[in-house]
Amino acid sequence: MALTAQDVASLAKLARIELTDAELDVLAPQLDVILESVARVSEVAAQDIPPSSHALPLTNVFREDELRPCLPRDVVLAGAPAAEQMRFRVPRILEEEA
Amino acid sequence: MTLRQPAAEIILQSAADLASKIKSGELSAVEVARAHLDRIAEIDGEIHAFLYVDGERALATAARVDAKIAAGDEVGPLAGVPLALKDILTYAGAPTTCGSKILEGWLPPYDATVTRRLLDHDLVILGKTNLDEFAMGSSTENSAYGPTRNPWDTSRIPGGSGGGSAAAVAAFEAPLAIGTDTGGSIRQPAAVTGTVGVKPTYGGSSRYGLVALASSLDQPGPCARTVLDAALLHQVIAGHDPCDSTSIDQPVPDVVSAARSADVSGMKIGVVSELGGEGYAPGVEQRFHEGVELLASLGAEIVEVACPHFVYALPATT
Repeated sequence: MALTAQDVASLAKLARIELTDAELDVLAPQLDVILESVARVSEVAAQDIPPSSHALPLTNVFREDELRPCLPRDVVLAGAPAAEQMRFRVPRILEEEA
Repeated sequence: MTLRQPAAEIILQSAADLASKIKSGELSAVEVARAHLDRIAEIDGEIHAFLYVDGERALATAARVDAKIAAGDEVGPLAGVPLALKDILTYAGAPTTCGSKILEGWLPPYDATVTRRLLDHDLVILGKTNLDEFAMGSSTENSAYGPTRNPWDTSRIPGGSGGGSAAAVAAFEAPLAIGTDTGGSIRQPAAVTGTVGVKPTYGGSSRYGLVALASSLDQPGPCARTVLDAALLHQVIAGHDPCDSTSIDQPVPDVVSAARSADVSGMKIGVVSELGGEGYAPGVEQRFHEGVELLASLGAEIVEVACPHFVYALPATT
């Protein structure tokens, strides 16, 4: 299953990256190599092997439900490019034209 | 102030030696910090191991350590020893960029647990080291702030992603550094720069304050020029942290005693057959076999091990 330039164009749109037609033609075969490489894992990742998230047998790691001091809000917001009403201000992405 | 020893003699010493001389008063933490800052000023234009150096803050920390020692206060085993921190761990008041323009100018409001432990153990942080952007790379050529060069031959790469930390240690700009390793970012730069680097067992050191590459694999760990120095640094940074849910809640094994005894007799050492053969530069595999022979001559039992799934390791981490 080879990745087409059109596939890369839709991915680029989702990722909000502007790519020229020439770049699409270069990137499609390169991304295809990566996908083929990742697909090799399916040779060993069979149905009878349970998926694992990480190497340690840890489950439900909770702390006591108690109040703790947290970072002061103005200190945290000082690192934001924009803040409003004591919140992070970000560019609108929903409800915009496709 | 004037240096009691020529700076060159200071920077060539191991972290273990520097720590014991600082503790005994033979050297001050301030003159040790100054010698390394001078070294950075002298050669880092060429090496580019550092993205950020704060000499004033380092000297102020060093002065506090000297004052604690003079007052007879309890200090950590590496008190006063300078260190370079990979620029993917937070250090409040210093920028954390991860080698990316995306985070340019961001000042983190808190210390990573590893940073906190370094400071609590009286180490002196000189600055933040270069890396492939967000640790994605194996050569430190992919930093938005330009590449780091290998101190042994500046036409070559220092490995990556932690090429800055490895190069800082190899170039005697710092006796110790912190790296982070997901798929080789401490170990491979150590190999490429002739230094020592260890990826701790997953869960062995805290990821709190470490900007994630792949959070189920990332581990901060020590970079040094000797095995003992790496063990001493590991002992400082490792151990359970409630802020990291995958942290191991067990005592840290005594790796310092193991490094000091340096006894490998009776140890069983596996040599992975899949890691031999293809892809070695001439001489590298020969050196590896010399290492295996040395271990055997010191009484270690060498066992060849097959790990057929290793061929899937690269696709799996990708």
